[in-house]
Amino acid sequence: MPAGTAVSDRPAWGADEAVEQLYAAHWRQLVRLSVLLVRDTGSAEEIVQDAFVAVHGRWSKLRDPDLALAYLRQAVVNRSRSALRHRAVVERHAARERLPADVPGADESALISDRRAAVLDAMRVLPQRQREVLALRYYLDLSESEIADALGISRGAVKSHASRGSAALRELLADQLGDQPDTHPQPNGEEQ
Amino acid sequence: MSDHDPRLAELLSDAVSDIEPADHLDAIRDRTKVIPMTSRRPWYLVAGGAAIATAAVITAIALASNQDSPSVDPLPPGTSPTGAVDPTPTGGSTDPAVPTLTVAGYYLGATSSGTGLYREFIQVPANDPLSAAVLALETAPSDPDYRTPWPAGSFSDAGFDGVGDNGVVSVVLADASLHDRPAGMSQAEAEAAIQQVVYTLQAAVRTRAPVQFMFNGNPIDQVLGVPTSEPLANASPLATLSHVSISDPAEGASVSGSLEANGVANSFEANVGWEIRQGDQVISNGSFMADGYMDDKLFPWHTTIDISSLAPGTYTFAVMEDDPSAGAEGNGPDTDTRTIVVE
Repeated sequence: MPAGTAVSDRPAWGADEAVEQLYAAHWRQLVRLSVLLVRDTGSAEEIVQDAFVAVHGRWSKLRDPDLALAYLRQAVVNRSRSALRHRAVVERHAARERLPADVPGADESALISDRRAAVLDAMRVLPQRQREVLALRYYLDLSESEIADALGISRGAVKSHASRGSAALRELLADQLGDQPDTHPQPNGEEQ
Repeated sequence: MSDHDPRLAELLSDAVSDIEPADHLDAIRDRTKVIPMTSRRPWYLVAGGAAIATAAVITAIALASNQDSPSVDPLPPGTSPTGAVDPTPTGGSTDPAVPTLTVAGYYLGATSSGTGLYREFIQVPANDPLSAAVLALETAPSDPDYRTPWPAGSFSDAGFDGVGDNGVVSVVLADASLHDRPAGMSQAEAEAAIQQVVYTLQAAVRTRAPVQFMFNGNPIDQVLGVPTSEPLANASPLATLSHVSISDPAEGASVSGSLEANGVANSFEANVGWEIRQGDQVISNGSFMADGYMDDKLFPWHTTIDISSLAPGTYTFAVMEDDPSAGAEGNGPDTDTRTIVVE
């Protein structure tokens, strides 16, 4: 996360400034993280907004951008979990999904959006903890102990959720993973 | 991590790469300026429709009836040898950066007059007393006679904006489903649960400042179905708390020779009874005096009981309110118990 490093150099912020800096550096990424957990973008924005409000209230205790970022991540994961329990998210998601569903297409952009939808659908199928561990592991690239801290679980549990979740996700996404290279570009240089 | 799959990392990153969230910075600035006391409704209330919206009946809460007698310190110094809020060095905590704090948690339990609150000192990993108090609320007490209705993840934060009894303690709900009283929870139990939060947070900041429940940056109109629009004062201690509460020994403590016990009580003429039981059988009993009884509060007590004649084994140590009517009047005596292991 290159954006995170710029934040760490200035310690003497007030809460307002801290929130603005954290927002500039992490707003988009945290919303995307929440989308991986709750799927719906509107709910994700609400969740992350709440997390920023919470970190503002807590800044006097955190006082450190890295701690604040860890707190934000934790708040986003917890709030995503709470929000999922609430039917409103599900209903909103269902309403939203109906709209783009009837836009057909066989071109490359349609394939890409199918693939993205398949990944988000697959995430929703996973048990809560596995989904959280995978999102923190694969999307935020957090270490095992960072994930353990964020979720309040042991490193052993992180390991086991990661392993089971990865296996389940590979199975659910077998089609996507087996795709041809031209419809499934691999910018990380993984060549066959 | 051993099981890192770069293909999955790529798929997950790609799946959200087209998400461009709307700008919410102004909304965040707006919500963090001052604590807005207007009742802007959280989104889930709007989504929840008319049924919840009509529940937003603003009930005036007795802010003025603060139980503010200055001697009502929730934690009179010296009531517990563990100290009230002692930052102690890290024990077995998973995160070496987080110290372990001992805080007074209040928990639901059966009293002679229904559900009441018992106090238990509990150790939790936290950086400050309010965070510790929030964690204590979400942690199961060690005495199996007590319980907490707040599951982990109920609260996201707590803060105190003042000094002494001035100011407001705020506690932030993390879980919107706590707005309504769950099926199976009685009104009395819900009210006890709210007072549990009030008493535990007041103990953490050592004042009787009222407690405001917040959600999404705003005061929330109700929690567990109990009106919470305004900061809540603690309810009358004698109407809320068990009239006897044991601080030490802790549940399951090992003792030998003599039993040092302390706690708080409000009992007729300050007489407090005790029993050591094994099963249904009372092995020995006696009484001692608490520091007082003529007030709406609990008074510290301390006693030392000779247990050198007890055979090694597991016993129940019970402390009970004196009941001069012997059950003929009122609801009978409040009792608190601890399992002790005599070595």
